[in-house]
Amino acid sequence: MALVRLPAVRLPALGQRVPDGIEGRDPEYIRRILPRLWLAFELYFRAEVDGFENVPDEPVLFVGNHSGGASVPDTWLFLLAYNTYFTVEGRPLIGLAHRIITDTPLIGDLARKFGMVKAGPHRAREVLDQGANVLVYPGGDVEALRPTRDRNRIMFDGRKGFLKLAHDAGVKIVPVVATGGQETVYIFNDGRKTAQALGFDKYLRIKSVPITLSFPWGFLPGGLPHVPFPAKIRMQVLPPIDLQEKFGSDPDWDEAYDYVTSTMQVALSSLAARTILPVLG
Amino acid sequence: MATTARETVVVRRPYDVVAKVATDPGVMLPLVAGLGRFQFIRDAGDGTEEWDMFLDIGAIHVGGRVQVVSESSTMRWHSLRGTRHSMLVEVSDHPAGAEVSMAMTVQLGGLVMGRLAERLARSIAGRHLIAGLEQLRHHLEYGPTE
Repeated sequence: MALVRLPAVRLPALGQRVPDGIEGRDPEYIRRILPRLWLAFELYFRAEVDGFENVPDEPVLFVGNHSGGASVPDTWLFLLAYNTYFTVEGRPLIGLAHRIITDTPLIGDLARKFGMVKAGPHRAREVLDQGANVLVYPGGDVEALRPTRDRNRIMFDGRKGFLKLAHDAGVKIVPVVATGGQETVYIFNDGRKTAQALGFDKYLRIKSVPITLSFPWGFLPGGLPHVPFPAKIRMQVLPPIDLQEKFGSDPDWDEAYDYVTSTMQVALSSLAARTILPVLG
Repeated sequence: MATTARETVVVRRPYDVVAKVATDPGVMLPLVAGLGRFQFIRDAGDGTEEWDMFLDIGAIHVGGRVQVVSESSTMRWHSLRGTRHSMLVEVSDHPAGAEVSMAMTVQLGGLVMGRLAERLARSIAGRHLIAGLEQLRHHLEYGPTE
């Protein structure tokens, strides 16, 4: 039995990386590793994902809150759940990821094979126009590295690009909320001021450098890919939001931002209320 | 032994509008108990109402029959049977509109295990209060959730 064998990553020849785009997604590779990933996520995170019946059969922009520092286990879980619900041959899901993920050797190649591409508004539009669904996390590293005390808060840091993307592309937003991911790493403070003071926001596009506790790094300023602590992860896919229908052809972006984040906050707080004990679920 | 969970939320709507909704048990109890079950029992005729209200927490149901008293800026209830608890909802003015606070006090028996259970109950109640307050805020700012 090969149930506990780790997913085999067939790396390209030295210097040759998996393409960054829909062409980099490898359905056969996804099919091969799905059962093992499913087992790992079920055992380690006791994962639950609900609400896929809300997804319309047309290209959509999934907008999520994500957690867990640089390892973002809820992102992997969503990719896994999506590919099993809609099947590998169904509409492909392309996730936009921070360069710290896509540029990391091994993890970056694994991510690209699974359908992740480096974040950027033009890439997202290109992929939507190709008929794929796109997954974005507007909060980026600020959200993934938010303090543990704010683990059940939507924190998009005022970023509205995702709204303009969905509106211009004429696609609906499908919000996705998740709890538990921020219990896989401990983050003690808001690291935005530190990132600014060190110039990381300008030169590395890293907007947050908090003090974190993770395995195997221990205490560390900032977040590096790590082995997540086990935790219960729950995800909920919400009904779609049609920005054109709700806010017209010339939306007030602040109003649209407040509405989307408010809708997600309500769902996230309700999901969090299902937690009896943090970590255990 | 008793323990109290308290949470607040700012609602960007006029104080009068918020107070009217937040002190209406017909609106507020379904929002707070949205993750469990609730049922109107009777109007007691003395300005109070009786409701059954339960939160589903894993395998157990926390709550029971409560007597609700509403005033202009507060609503309070206490248990008549079931889990011994009380709740206070208060609405106050805020520069952005109104602030709603909810405080739930739960009483559980026992010494060591009672204290442990109360600690757990406080964090569970806190998360339910946040969920209820967020539902209330969204309901007032954007209308009922779909």
